[in-house]
Amino acid sequence: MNNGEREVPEDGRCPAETVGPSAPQKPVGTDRVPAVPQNAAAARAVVTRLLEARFCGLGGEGLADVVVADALLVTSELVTNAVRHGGGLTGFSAEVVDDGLLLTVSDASTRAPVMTERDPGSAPVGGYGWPLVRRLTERVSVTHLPDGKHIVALVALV
Amino acid sequence: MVREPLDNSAPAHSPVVAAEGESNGSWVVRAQGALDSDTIDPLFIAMWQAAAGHEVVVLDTSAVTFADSSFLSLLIEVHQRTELRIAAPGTAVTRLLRIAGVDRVIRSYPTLDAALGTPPATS
Repeated sequence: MNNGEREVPEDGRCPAETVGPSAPQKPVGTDRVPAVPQNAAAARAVVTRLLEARFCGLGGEGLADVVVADALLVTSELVTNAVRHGGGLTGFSAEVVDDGLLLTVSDASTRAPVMTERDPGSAPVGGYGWPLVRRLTERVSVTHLPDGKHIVALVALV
Repeated sequence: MVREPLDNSAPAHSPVVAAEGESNGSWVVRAQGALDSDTIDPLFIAMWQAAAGHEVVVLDTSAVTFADSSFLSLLIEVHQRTELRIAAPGTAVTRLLRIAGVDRVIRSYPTLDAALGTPPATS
């Protein structure tokens, strides 16, 4: 049954059917995503669809697998940090700009991101995420707000 | 011999542990799907138990489509407890290991057979 949404292949490759500029507008292909994703997997799906729509739909071969992998890893780490350490994800947007993929992740905590190595008494998972984000982004900034913070990260798409 | 995991070892909607069992003297755990902090717990449990009882643990990652820092944490913890070999990593896992520098301390093998074919490192 066709529910109107484009299927995204598991392996991230471009679908055979390409979407050109004249294709009808579909919510999944827009730059701004109004709904906040439920979790990191949902945020990764948003970025996958965005990159696929932007780089596979114009007849090209799409981005290199490793570039997509980096973008999804940064997305996952930022959203996971917001959910686990930031009091919850309050906003998420992904857009393709001249310099690459711009991610904006908002959470409900005024504390700075967890940047330190994990301490032995903490939960069994965590602590390696922020260094990965730093390594995989061209730039990352934190804007503190009265009720939380925005983290803006730029991932190169080359 | 590879047996299916116990029913309670993974949530039904996200069986990140596809199978585990002994092969050629090593314990093999086959992971699958997307591994992040929401899904990784069953794999953590399987690997933790494997590390406690086996000299060599092979993690088959051929069916892993995504992995993040929670997977990295798992690898490092298991590596500290046993000889961990990563088999058949795809783009996502290979890239993660390289970016984190973990590829310098944990060995990867292109295939499961290659990972199983190497005798345990003498320590």
